[in-house]
Order: sequence, then structure tokens, then C-alpha cells
Amino acid sequence: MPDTFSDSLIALLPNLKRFAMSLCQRQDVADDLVQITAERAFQSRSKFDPSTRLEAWLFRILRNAWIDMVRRNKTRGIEIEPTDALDMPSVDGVRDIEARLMLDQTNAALQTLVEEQREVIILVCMEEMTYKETANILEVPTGTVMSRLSRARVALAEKLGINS
Amino acid sequence: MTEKQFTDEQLMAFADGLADPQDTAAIEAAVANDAALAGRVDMFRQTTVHLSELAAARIVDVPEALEAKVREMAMASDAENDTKVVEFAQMRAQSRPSWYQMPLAASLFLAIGVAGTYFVLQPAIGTNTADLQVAGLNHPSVKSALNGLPSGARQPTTDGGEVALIASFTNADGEICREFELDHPDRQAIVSVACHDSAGWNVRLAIAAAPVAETGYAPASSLETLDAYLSATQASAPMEAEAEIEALKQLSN
Repeated sequence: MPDTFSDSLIALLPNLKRFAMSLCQRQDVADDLVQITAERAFQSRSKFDPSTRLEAWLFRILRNAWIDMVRRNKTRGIEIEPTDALDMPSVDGVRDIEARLMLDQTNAALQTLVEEQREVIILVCMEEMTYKETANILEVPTGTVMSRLSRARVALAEKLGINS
Repeated sequence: MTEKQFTDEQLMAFADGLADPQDTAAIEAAVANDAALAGRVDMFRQTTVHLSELAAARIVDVPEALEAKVREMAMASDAENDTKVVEFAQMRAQSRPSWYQMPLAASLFLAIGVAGTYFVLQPAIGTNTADLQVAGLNHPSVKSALNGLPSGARQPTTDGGEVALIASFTNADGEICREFELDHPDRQAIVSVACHDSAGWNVRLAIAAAPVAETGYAPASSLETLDAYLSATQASAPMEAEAEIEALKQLSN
């Protein structure tokens, strides 16, 4: 019997992995987070509201799993250190080198943002969540998302030399 | 016009196409005559362009072993889901095929009654609490049937109706719940779910159907409503006969 929930979840695995990598920057930890997210999602699939986007619901589960993991490790005195670079495809040609430089700069600028700004900017500008979906994922009011996001984008623009 | 008139949040929402219509119109008019304001909006747009390019360029590796594990989880979860629906459907068919031949308008509507019970009624029935109370759900015969009548059995009520027990299961809170049907010659048939909490049996869902008509058709909408409710409350699969006897015995202790 075709099941859109399972099929959609499997189709979203790359998105989950990308978001997980943004949070922890560790391939092994990101894979664990994706697996935990899938387990929790199947366990509570009846709680998913089909009138909302599955991706946003899964991101919320994944982020909570990440917070749990960080908290648990902290109590054991373990820090999860980012060890893996966020891979990008190799490129050729002058034009592509410029593009590559811009990507590297954007990535570097993104990493300098404080955690709460980085989180909203990743969700809205990279994972294409709406302000409201982001508010649900982060469990904060929409107004908070908007103020964090605008500050994050102003800071990023400054680092990238984008003039306003 | 100066950019001080709009907050960064408003300009950002405009750049993202997420501003409300009033702001959109005002900002559109303002940026046409204010280069600084237009530049601010463009700055927000450019951040999205750079970040979405970064997102697109990132290599995402989902290891085969991870995907295989998730596929296994999906199969197990789908199988559990399908089994539950089939088991409930089988028990309903065994208990009382006739009710499902009754016509039930597709335009059911939902009202929240006393104590958080969901009543799904046809508009013609009316929605006030008095109507719900006369429906007979609180009749002592119903309570006694819930306490002891096994699923699949029927029993007359002292007010001239009949109660049929469909299935027993547990909900997410671990309470024992029973799906049952109440027929009365003078009233709409009702399919209901009651759960046993510290105060005793408590009706959690009631679906009222139209009176029996000569030319009936299967009310798919009512079963979908019921299945959606069971799914939302994380109902377990229906209990086996022995487990049901044991569970009911525990309740009476």
C-alpha cells in the first residue's frame, strides 16, 4: 500500500542530513541525528498534521534531538566538536573560482554568526522554511524569528561587503 | 520618505515576499522614490541569494546503510498502521454490518461538547448539549455494557434500544477505550468511543448517523472520521478476546 508519509520522509533524508550537518558539522553525528529523527517520526506519525509541511515537522524533531544530544553529552563532560568541513563540489575555470570564493566567504561568514542567528538564517534562507514554520521548529514567537533573522542578515551582509 | 519609516523586519519580509498586503503596498511605493530604502531591501534579497547558492552547492551524503535502516523502519511502521486499520474494520464488520449500510451525509461537522468530548453530528440533528444528552450515551445500560459486554456482542438497553460493542483498545495515555454503537428505533444510531479514566467511563467521541433509509450506502466519511480519531489518539490495535476480558476485569477491581 503506498504511503505518502514514509515515501515523503525517505525523500527528505538529504534535507535532514544537510540540516543536521549545519547544526553539528560532523558526518557521524549528523547520520545519528537523521536516524534518531526517523525513529521518532515513525513512532509519533499519528501526531503529524498533514495540513502542515512534513519537512518542518521533521526539522523540529531533528533540532530537539540535537539539543538532547548536546545536553546529554554536556552532563558527561563531552563536547561535540565540529570536525568535518561542509563539502562543496570542486569547480573549474576563472568564473567558477570566483563563485567558489563567494561560497567559501558566505560559509565562513555564516559560521561566525551567533548560534541563535545562524539557526534562523539556515532555516529560512537555506532550507526555505517560512517565518512561521521556523517559529514552530524553534518554539519561539514569529516576531522573535523575524528580529533574529533581520539582525543575522544585516551581520552577514556586512561580513560579505554587501552594501545597503 | 526615509527608511526610518519601516523597520528592518518589515523590509526583510517585503524582500522575502512575506510582508502583509498593506506593508507590501506601502514599501513598494516608498522604494520607488528612495534609493537608500531600495538598497536596504536589495541587501536582504542578496543575503538569500548567497545562502541559497551555498545550500545548493553543499554535497549531502546520505550513506546507503542509513537509508536502508530508515526504509526498514518505514516498512515496519506502515505494516503496523495497515494492520490496525484492517483489524478495526474486521471487528466492525463482525459486530454489526448493518450500521455501515446507513446513509451518512458527507457534510459531517464537529463540535466540542462537555468534558472535551468530540461530537460529530449531522447538521439536522442540532448541536446543543440537551440533544447530546438525550442521545442516550449516558444511559446506565450503556455503562454496564461497557463494563462487561465482550466485543462482537450486542445487548438491549432498558430504554428500548440496543448497544453493540465493536472493539477494545488502549489510547496514548494507556487508558482502556471501547468503540461501540448505540441503536434506538426513535433516534439516530451513534458510533462512539468511551475511555475509562479515574472517574469511570467517559465518552470521548460520538458520531451520529441519519436514521436508516431504504436505499443505504456505505458512509465512508464516518469511518474515516473514526479512523482519524483513533489514529490521532494513538489507539492500539484492537485487543484479543482474552486480553479484553483481563482488561475489563482489572477495571472492575
